[in-house]
Amino acid sequence: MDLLIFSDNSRAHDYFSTFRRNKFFSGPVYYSLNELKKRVNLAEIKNIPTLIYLDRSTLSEEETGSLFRFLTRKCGIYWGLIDPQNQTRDIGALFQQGGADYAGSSVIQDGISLKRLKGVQKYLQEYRKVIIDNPPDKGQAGILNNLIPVKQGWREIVPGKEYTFFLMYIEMDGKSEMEKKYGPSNLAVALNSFRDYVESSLQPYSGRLWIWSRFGGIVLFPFSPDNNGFIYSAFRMRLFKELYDVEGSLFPNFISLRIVLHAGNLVYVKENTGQVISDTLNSLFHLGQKYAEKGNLYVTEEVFQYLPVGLKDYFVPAADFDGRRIIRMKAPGH
Amino acid sequence: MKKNPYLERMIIDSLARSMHVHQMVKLAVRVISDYDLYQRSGFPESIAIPQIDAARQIVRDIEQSGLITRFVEVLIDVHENGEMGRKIPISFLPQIIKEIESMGYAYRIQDGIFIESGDGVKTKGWGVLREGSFYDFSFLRVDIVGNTELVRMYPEKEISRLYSDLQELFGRLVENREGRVWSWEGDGGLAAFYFSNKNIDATICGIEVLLELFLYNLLDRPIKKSLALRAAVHTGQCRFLNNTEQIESETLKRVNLIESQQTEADNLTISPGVYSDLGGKLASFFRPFEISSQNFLYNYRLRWK
Repeated sequence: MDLLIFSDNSRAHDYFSTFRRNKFFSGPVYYSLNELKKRVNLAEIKNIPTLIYLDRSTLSEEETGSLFRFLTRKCGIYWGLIDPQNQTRDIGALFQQGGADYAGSSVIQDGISLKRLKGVQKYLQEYRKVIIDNPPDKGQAGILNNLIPVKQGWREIVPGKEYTFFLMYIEMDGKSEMEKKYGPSNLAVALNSFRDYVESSLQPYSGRLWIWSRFGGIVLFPFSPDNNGFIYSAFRMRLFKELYDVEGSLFPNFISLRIVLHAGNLVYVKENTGQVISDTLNSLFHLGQKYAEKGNLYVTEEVFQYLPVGLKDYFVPAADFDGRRIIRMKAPGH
Repeated sequence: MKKNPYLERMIIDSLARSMHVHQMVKLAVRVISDYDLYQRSGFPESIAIPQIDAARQIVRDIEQSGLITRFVEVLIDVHENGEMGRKIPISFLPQIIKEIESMGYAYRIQDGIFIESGDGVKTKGWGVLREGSFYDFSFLRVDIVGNTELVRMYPEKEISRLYSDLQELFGRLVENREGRVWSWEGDGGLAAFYFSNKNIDATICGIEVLLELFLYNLLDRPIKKSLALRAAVHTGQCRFLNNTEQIESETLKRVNLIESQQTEADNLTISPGVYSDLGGKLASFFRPFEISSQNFLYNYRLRWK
């Protein structure tokens, strides 16, 4: 998260004197108040969550109110107020207007610390449902430390060796109802057509069906940190799902899909995929079968960090699973 | 379509081998309604015209009228379905079809017509429509919202990239569904759909334009502001002219009106004639709204839950 301070007060640097360089915040960077609009607009374009502190010691009540309104309209910009002279009469109103922190004279005296800013982050995440993409803590499930990227895609992959993959779990909801509703041969034809659809939709993004069992399966994408075509393909598939229902699906009703995107290491095998023992695969199956709710697409925290910034606004935090942070895609509809 | 003497010879041989002169004339009349073989050939009516001469005359006349593909469509129809309950197998039909396909056309079984195939030249009338004739179309009209403001706000280079991206996107999606872009005015355009599923094709194309534009806005747009479109689909009769700019039609006026006055940004609005053709699944994407007493239009937009 970026940290920007706007103040025309020469003592502004002192407010953050106890603040230490850390992995959670970049900054603080100090600007004069007359640069606020320009800098905030730039920060909004960058689409990185940004925490702004506004020093009101040289501002009138009207000027402060006008800047609050400006900041509140900005996407991905969160703001707090520094008030060295305790001029603000109604602090609660600040939060009602979208504020995330208030630092009066006593707070400033002690200095604004990392602990305080982490508290602001926690407040934004828990109560304002903001997704802030922090680096994982030690021991937290993550793949950043032991990546085995695949630079040349499938050409490079040799069976029996371990690589990092992006994985997609995809399965139709309502299996048993479908078994009852449709005859076995009609169902088999419709399911085969669904499998072809999954395969042809993901192939252009280097996705390969790896495990398939009638109603769904696992698709593998070779991992490359620079290539987020995997996430785009899943997002796109979900966005266009209902057009598939209209044109491609052989089922008379709209189908419902559970999709989970995960990333991790596993030993690639071509055959006997049912016998693969892998924590990554295990987690994915658990998420797909025990956690995912009907019709939803989820990404694990391992995947979320690779989401193109523009897509992040369409995800919201979901309940954690097995100590792992899970993020759900909002459902597109009409 | 270019003149193809080889194709004409094949059709002449095919007619001469497959049917009597009387039957040839009946087929010719299906293409040129007032066709009179005796008048065209100069034979006196008291003399029976030899089969080969009749076939030559008919094919020459049809070729000169630019209706060769239409005539072959009739041959395919009688070969498949017979006439008046009688089967009429047409000799050399596969070879004739293959020759037409080699000229950049494809036979569209659902509609029983030849149209320009994907990789060849694409005309606004699919190589099928006749200048000045009336046909039923479905029209998709799209327009950029706030064009003037965008042009004022951003440098010309960025705006021209934006609009050319949109034009490319629109053209690609329309042609994927066998539609044709009839006009593009920089900030919006008009596409026509003609074949049997024209209302469904135009509607799905409109939805695809909105969804693709949504992704473009998220990931590729060159300016800070999101690009918003209004889209509308309407169906009705319209006179076809190769110079589509000159077409004047109530159907076109109506689609423009629906788009400009009854559609909000990022929405697709369709008229009742289109809606009634969609089928249950696709129709469920749309919400009706009343524009005057008992007069409804139907609206789609991408919503997030």
